[in-house]
This record gives sequence, C-alpha cells and structure tokens, in this order.
Amino acid sequence: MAKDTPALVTKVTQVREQAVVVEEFNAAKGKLASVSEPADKVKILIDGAPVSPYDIPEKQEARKLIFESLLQIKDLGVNSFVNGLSQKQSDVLMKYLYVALETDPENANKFLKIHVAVTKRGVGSIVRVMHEKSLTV
Amino acid sequence: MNKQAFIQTVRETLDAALCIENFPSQIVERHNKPEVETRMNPELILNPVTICRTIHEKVFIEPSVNSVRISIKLKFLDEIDRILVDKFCSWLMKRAEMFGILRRVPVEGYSISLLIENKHVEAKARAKVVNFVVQFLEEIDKEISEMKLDVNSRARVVATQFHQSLLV
Repeated sequence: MAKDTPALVTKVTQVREQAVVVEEFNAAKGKLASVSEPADKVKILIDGAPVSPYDIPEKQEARKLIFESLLQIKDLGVNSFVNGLSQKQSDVLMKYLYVALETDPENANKFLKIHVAVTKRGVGSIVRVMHEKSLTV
Repeated sequence: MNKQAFIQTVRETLDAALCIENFPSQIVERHNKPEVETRMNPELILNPVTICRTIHEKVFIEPSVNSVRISIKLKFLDEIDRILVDKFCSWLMKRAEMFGILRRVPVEGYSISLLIENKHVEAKARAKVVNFVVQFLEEIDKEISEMKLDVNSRARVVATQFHQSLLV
C-alpha cells in the first residue's frame, strides 16, 4: 500500500487536473452561443482550450471547433484578429495552426495566411510550440 | 499567394528550429552525434512540425538540441512527375557529401531529406542555411516543370521521326 501511494496520489491529481481542463473547455463552449463573430469565437475557445499533457477526447472537439472558426475569418480580418491576441493566446493559436497544417492540408491556404500574420509579431510562439512537450493541443 | 505564404512559414519555422548548439552524447563518452538521428534521449528531441502546402506537398521539420532534420515531399501529379522527382532527388542524394547538409536517404514518405547540424550552422551563417533551404523549395518546382517540358518535347521529336520513317 505504501509503495502504491505515490502512484495513486499522482493518478488522483491527474484526474483532478483533467477535470479542471475539461470544465474550462465546456465553459468556453457554453459561451460560444452568445457570440457571432468567428474571431471572437476563436478567442473564447483559445482561452478555454484543453492545453494539457492528457489525451482527452475534448482535444479533438476543440480542434474541430477552432479550425471551423478560423476558416470563417475573412482574409481582410486576419491581421486585426491576430493583433488583438495576447502573447499566451498567440502561443495556443500557433499550436493549433501547426496541428491544422498537418491534419487539414486542403485548407492549408487559410492557415498559412494566419501563420504569417502571427509570426509578424516574432518567432517566440514557434519556439514554444517546439519546446513545450507536455502542453499539447 | 499560397506559395509565398508557404515559403514564409517554412522560413520562420526554420529560423526558430535552427537554434541549435554543440551537445555531446550523454550516453556514450567522447561521442558527438546528431540527436535527431540517434534518438537516444527523448528529452533532447523537440516537437516535430509538419507544414503542408497541399495534399501532395509538405515539409516535415524535426528539431533537436544539436541538429534539425528537414524532409520535403515534392508534389507529383502524374507518373512522369514522379519519375522525374525520383531521378532528380536520387541524383542530388548521391552527391550528398558535396552539399554537406543533404541526407543520403530520405525519411520514409518524403522525397528528400536534409540534416543540419550545429557545425553547419557555426561554419555557415544560419540565415544562409535557411536561405538555401527556402531557395531549394522555391526553385524545385520550376526545375521539375522544365525537365517535364524537355521530356515532352524530346518525346514529340522522337515520335515524329519514328512516324516519318514508317511512312517512307
């Protein structure tokens, strides 16, 4: 029992942290109905994104919602959308952009345009995508 | 526009990935090998990224602490394109030592691979290495198209001559 206790504590902590991540994402999903602009939807989803080391089904759902909203942003509105993001939001958005560029090559055109707009602010977001091995989307 | 955005994305990603330094092996004494190839220490391998331009064309960048592996999948829409890409890349890879950063064997699923180590980045300016890769991506399409036109024109000449000989 004593030998298993640390693993049990880790498992309980992991489940609790997973629950927090899922709760935040569900809260973000709940707020989507109150906004109509795709840029605002993306910001809400990014704030509640399930960025975590856990492999949870909410990650797939978050990807689907964020990709759909990103594709609805008009080309002329990309720069204003990106300029309105904070550093943390840019980092999360960059993670989703790389996942999008890998998994959805048919819509790569739009994602590449948004990537170019985000990197105008610096390559820090790209470095964090590569280095943050535990915080994945 | 799509190509420009793709090239710009690859350039920025390489700028971020090529922050590499000398890092001797932690496992074997007096060994200094590219970690992206040996893969003996997972903590030294960074998250790989894939940048797709279309379904057929993509770049796969695998960074690590002391090396970066870049794999490029070139687009080929028909059989002639595929043969030309295979022949061209095979020709380049046989001369990998002259290039220095080219890998003799491409990563599975890709047409050509480059391995950039810290010594390359120290000997040549990082910006020039990035420019080389980007220039390669920009010009490869043109090269393949020119080769295809050459093949088609030669085939047309050969077919004409053959038919003329048959008529006479």
